[in-house]
Amino acid sequence: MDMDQLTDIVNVVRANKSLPALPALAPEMRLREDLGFDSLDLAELTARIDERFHVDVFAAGVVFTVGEIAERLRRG
Amino acid sequence: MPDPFTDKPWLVIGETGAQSTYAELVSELQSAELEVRRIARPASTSEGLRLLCHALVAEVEMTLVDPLFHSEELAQLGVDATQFEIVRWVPGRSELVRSELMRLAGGASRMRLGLFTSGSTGVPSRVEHSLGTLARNVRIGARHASDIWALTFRPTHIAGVQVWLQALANGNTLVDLTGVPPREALEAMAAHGVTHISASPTYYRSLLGARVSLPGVRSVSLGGELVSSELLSQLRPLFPAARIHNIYASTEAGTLLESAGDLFRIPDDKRTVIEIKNRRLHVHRSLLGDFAAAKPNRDTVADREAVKQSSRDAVTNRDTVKQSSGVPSPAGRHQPTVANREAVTIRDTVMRSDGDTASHSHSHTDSQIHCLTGSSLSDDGWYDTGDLVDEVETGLFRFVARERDWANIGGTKVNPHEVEEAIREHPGVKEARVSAQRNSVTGQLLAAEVVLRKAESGKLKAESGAGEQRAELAAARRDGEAEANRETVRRSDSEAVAESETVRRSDGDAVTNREAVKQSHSLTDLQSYSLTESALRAWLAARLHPAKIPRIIRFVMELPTTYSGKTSRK
Repeated sequence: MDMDQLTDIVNVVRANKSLPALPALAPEMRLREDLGFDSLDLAELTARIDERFHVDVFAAGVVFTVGEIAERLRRG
Repeated sequence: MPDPFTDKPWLVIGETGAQSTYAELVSELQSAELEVRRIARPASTSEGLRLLCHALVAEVEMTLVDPLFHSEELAQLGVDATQFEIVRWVPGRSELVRSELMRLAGGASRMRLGLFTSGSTGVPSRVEHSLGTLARNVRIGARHASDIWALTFRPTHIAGVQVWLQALANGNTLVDLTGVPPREALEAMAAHGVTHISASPTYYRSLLGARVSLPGVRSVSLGGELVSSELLSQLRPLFPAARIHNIYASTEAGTLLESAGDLFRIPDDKRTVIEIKNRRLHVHRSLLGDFAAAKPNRDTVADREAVKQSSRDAVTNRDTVKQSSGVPSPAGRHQPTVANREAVTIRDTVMRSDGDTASHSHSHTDSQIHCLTGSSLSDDGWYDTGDLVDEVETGLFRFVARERDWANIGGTKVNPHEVEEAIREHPGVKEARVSAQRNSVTGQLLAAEVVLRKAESGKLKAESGAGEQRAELAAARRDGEAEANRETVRRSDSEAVAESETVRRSDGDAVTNREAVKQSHSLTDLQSYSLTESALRAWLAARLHPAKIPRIIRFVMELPTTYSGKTSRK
């Protein structure tokens, strides 16, 4: 799983909220508090990740951080 | 003997912890003047609750509008936004005491409340309820005296109103958690001893995985969306001592059914007013609030269409507002003309919530509020909710889909047809199809497939020395008429895209886009419009409620059609 691709996806969602792009993601970044996402943003993020990686990262339950997303993607 | 409720909090702001007491509330309502509005768009939950309390005590009619409705949507609904500024002052009730306030909230007030619902007809409509109808399901009694309610719905939502009434009728504390992030909301629930929660399934899903437990919560109510048995079991660790209530309610009818799981049973005493026909849930008109009859006479249909057309004229042109009489008015102001006033006089049969019918004329010359027809009401008075069910045995069923074509985006009903219409209004769009994708976070997510239009004609006029090209483009209107648009497209050398651009919204706010879009259009290809996803979303943001804007937009060459030529919904 390419972290740059995940960063691109996160930045697409942020851009749609007029938030600045992040140069990189860190595993400990929290999706709501640090990335500024609400439920609809997380829904969009899930859909875009699923489209790119064919994995529904929220299917097995809520994820809270970038690291947890990366882990779900690694497990496939 | 001092009133034990004197210092009891009536409202706690979950975000800050600020509190106001019942004593302060009663004192305010006893004051010389109560603020009442015929129509209001409260900027905050506490303001909405304050207006509701004033209207309750003054026993007047009020309509509440969600602040997220954009001004153009309001215009299409026939709501004149200038009405929000009109305030009336009526005498307070100097003799009011807390027990009287509770009695009023329990159903005694003659207040009438109008709310906007997306309904099941495809056209947003205003539904009006008497306080008696709204309080129909309020449970009052000593065992409710110590309840503490978490408020997660705004007071412009029927569920928010019902929580307000339930709490006020019993002298309970309301903890306002609207807009509070999940972790902070759970902390507030624990800090303020919340015992009762009413929220949407999406809201509850946002709380999952918090690794906390709130054993003090005794009651968890879910409503507004389809509830899965999986979610119900996931809530157990979070609220181990709570009784689960799966509520089926609507803005039109209020709370109708309740279940502890995902199976609902029509109670024996409701079998004459709730039934299943052709796998769809139907409700008798006697349970509904006031809205225009399903069988309007021709005048009503013609009047409504005339109003809709005049509203469309008002929102099509940003610079001038054309009246139905063709007389322009100052930019940004829709001045009712004689033609408009006549158009809004509607003769309807209004179904009252107590089951009686009364025929009368509404003349809304001082307001553009319309009771739009709910065409799901049959001749014999049954309202088709549009909700599909699977009947396990007679009267016992589970919901299969909350709406037929519709999306339910985190509790907000979205009519895909309405969104498609809005997208098609963009001059660069030829066709659009909007659908709901299944989504693990919100249940559904709105997605749009968009076919771009080829420029009907175009000519370039090079301006010497300026390095600019101006393109005059003719864009075909939806109804086939051609309308000339004058656009200025800034182009550098051979590039048409800059890193960032500011798109000015009709309300004056600025939105920053990553791609270069000038006045929502960018032209890089003379053969067709080149429109970016973010540009289209920014354009829609000026016209639609945020929940109605598709989160996923795909540009496609064409949409599949059925044998009759209609866009396939599959």
